[in-house]
Amino acid sequence: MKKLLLHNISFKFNPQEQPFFHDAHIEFDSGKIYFIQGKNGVGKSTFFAVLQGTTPRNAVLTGTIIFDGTEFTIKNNYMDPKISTRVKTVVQDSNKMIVNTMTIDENLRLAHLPIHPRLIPLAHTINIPTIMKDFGINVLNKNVQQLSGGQKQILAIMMALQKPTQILLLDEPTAALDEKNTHMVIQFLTDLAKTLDLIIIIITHDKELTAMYAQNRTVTIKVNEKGTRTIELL
Amino acid sequence: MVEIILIIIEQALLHFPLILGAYISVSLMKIPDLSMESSYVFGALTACIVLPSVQNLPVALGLCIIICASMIGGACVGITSGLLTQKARIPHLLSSIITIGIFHGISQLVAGVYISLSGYANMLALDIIPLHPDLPILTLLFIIISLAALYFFKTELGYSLAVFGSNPHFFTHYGISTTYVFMSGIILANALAGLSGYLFAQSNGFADINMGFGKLLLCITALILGKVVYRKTLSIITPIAGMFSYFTLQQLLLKVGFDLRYFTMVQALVIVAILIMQYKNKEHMHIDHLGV
Repeated sequence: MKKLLLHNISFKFNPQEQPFFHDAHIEFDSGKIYFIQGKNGVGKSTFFAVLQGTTPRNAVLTGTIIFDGTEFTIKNNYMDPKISTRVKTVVQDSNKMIVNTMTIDENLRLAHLPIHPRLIPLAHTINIPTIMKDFGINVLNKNVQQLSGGQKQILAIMMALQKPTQILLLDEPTAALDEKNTHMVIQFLTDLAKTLDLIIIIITHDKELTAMYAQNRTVTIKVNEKGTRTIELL
Repeated sequence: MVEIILIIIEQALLHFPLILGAYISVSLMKIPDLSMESSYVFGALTACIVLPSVQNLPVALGLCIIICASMIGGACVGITSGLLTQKARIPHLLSSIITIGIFHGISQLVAGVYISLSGYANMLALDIIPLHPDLPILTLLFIIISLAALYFFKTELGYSLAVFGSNPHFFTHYGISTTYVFMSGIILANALAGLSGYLFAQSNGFADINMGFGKLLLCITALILGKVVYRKTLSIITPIAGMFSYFTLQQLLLKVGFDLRYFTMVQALVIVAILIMQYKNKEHMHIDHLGV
């Protein structure tokens, strides 16, 4: 099991402002899924941006990260690339992350594209990850349009994981899904975290879902009267 | 009958790079790339300017240089419209209209409104087929370009162009440069249009600043006809089937005494008829905002 420890993390959108996050201290274990809750604008997406290293240019970020026993000090106000490159994000609308006019196989291969696609053949056909087969995605040449909403979300997650990943962030992955598909996706993520030893952090507004699956793994962001946020693991 | 078939083949092969270029930008990338009409002209004019300099070189070398010049001419138009879209953030339809305006002026400054090639040897001519001396080299070019396209559509970049048309947001989620993919596609499509412009100019013995008029409509008609025959994405068969269908239709109408002055109107009506049929059979056909 690997641990991700965020220690004394402070964040300001610009040097003159009050801290947005102040001395945040939180620990995540691999193999588990965590849920982030909080009202709109509380800073859930900013927390993701900090982990991804995509905070604004003039923002101020300080603190220490310890991942798998190695300490990384934040330099130049950005998350250390050794951490941020291992972080992958899946957005709420999975359609933005997949190509509906192509097959499952083509989509999985497209996820390997480099920053500048080259004049060499697209990566070879890969085998369907076993974990996807358990959730009904078992035919490589099936068109993506034939998949259910939940299966598309699972495909988008697997595509995000085609490059080396240790921390997976999901922004309301079940917001557009019905109850059956919601449980399918969360069950998939639970299995995925254990199988691939990932830290999975999910933003959700669904309190029922959190109550059902979180079991002491709910991250809550609260705002004090000065506008500074505290991050707590409940 | 043989003569009509030869005319169809010759006309189709002259327009093949243009239709393939339109297949890349309009059909795959779903970009309303009007600037291709300008790259068709500018490619032809660029080649015509370079043509006198290669007359004393071996034919094969001279032809390679001319082909490169025409493609560079076309690519310049693509780079302009692409940069206007990507860097100046102007919507592509508008940036391609602006590009047409810019290159209408540049073409006249560089080459005037008309260049005659009557004083120079036809670089495409081989006296193997009487009355159609261009056909052997056009066929050779067709084979080379088709094989290159066949390979290209299996590459990372080839797939990326099709992805751009289906989901332009895709690249940002996977750390892929959208600008690179967009510019590559636009430059390639316009370079091919430039080559087609040269082939047409060489075959007809002149280049004219207005020779690009209606060429995009020709391409869209051919691609819509091609999609009726073969719908699979990323396939060289669609533009090839489309171009042969288009010129067969044109020659058949000519054969029955139709005045080709009205053929542009016929193209428009063919597009309308096919799109209406597709809308009525929506469950079988995928229709998008460009119809191709």
